[in-house]
Amino acid sequence: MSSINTAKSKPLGLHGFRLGKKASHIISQTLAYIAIAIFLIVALMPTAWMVSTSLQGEDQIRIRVPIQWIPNPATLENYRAGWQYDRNWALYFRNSIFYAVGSSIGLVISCTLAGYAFARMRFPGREALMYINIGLMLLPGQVTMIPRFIMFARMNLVGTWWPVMIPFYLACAPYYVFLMRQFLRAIPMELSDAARIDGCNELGIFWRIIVPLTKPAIAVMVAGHVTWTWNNLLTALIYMKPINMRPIILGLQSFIGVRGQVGWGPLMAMSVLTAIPIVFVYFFLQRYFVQAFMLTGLKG
Amino acid sequence: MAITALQQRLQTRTRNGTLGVGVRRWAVTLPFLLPWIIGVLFFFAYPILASFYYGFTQYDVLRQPIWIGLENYRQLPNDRYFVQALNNTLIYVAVAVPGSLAVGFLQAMLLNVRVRGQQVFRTLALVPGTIPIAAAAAVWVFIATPGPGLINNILRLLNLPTQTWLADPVMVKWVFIGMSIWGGAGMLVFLAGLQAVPPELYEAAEVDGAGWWTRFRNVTVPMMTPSILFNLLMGLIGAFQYWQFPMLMTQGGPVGGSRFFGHYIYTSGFEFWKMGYASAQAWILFIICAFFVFLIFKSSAGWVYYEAE
Repeated sequence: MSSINTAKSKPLGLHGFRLGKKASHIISQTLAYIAIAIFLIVALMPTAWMVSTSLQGEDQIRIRVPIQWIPNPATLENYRAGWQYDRNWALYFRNSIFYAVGSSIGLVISCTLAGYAFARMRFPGREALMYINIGLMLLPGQVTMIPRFIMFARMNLVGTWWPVMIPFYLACAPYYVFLMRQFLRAIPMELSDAARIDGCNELGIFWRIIVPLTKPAIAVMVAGHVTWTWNNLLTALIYMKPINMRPIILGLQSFIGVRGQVGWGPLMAMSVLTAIPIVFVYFFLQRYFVQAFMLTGLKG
Repeated sequence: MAITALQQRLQTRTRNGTLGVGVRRWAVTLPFLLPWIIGVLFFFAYPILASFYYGFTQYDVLRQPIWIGLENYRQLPNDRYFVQALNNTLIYVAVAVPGSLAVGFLQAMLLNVRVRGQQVFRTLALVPGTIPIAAAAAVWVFIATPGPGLINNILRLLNLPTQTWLADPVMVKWVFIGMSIWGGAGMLVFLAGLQAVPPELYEAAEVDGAGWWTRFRNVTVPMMTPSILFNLLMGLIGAFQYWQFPMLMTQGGPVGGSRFFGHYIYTSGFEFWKMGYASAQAWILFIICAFFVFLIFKSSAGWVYYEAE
């Protein structure tokens, strides 16, 4: 149909529309490549600059124009200097990893359970509770921050891991409850019904049938949450200042503060180091991302 | 006949009787939902009420809260730090939210174009988002630094005057706004939305002779409105709470030029230990957010298109 129309409206030489279509295809592909290239160059420039600087000596960093992208000679001296400037880096990394892993476990368990109830079980008040959950997604964290702190302070838990862990074991992540619910709704109900007829109880259906299918949603949840714990300055400042809990975000924050003494090279080197675990997580989980977002959809 | 109908109705009543079945259903549901319920009660419901109460008190955590009525709220408009933080935040929201969503949309469009190497491009496009904010903050401080910074180097290369960026009390918030727009927002949600648009719609439009722009205007945009609504809401709430980068890079300075709402709440509460005052601010933030969410939801009926299922 479309070819006939094109041929009628724009006769294009001997081969008619075919040639025109091919040429326009090549042009549009080239334009797409150029646009994608510009976008990627602009987007990746700071990251490249960080990595490049971290491998340069102090004398190279001082050179200004033209910008030197390839370190010559490359050196790991900045990494050594940065690591030694603060002798607690290993501890910060340990704390951040413990926070990320410990809270992720709770988050995955509690949000999958809640999401399952909202998506695949029928009980009175379900819609109302879901509306509460959606409302909480839009609640600024500052509103609950102070009473939560006072609550934990009264229970004498400030200075321990409890305040930063417990909420995630109680599904205090409305966004992920919602994500899980959307994802689980997309799985055909017939699967559950068939298992129910075979005499499987609700917990069995959940564990044996549904959980194995939720990998993409769990991948999104873990990647998002681990990044969030890595980036969560507010919780870190309120609860995690003691040295035995201090996460790398606070370590790097004080590093930014003393950049005059440390120098740009070591600062960039430590920035690269803090990024590596997250890049790693994304690298392994990214193939699930678009799939998960597609399945969840955004309809009511 | 009538009797059997009545019997049937009675039977269905007892089978689906609201109380009996409801209780039974809740008994099955509870193991799944109990963590969520406890979490909502202890970490949302109680804190929301408590913070509302603290907003009417003077409270330094060490002593009991003292009721002072509306005093905190009366003080706010006269607190020039608060007014400055509110102004900065409103400017940030007004510019950075639409800007970063437009960039995120564009990014998603580009990554959705069918070209060879698409998978590689998608992976590369995810990289900037994985850089932890503390590392990104360090890099941006370096990029915007007056001496060997990247931006000034580029300006020198183009023979343009260099700037002081983060050291300038007026320009500093625009650096943060620029950073947010540069990063884009909601790319993954947009990308998933684009992939969910049925290809038949594009084919049909093409048959009707619609050009690139018409297809974008009349197929892509309407089909993407649910994603836009979602990203707009999340982006707006996030932007009203924006403070991490300024906290890491400039501590709100110079002269409060990058002090934002979230930052001032934190400072009032956890640096000056004025929990009552901070709670009052948090509630103002809450009300502003709720107002905008309400406005967007109200208007969404007019511009969000839901495909009939």
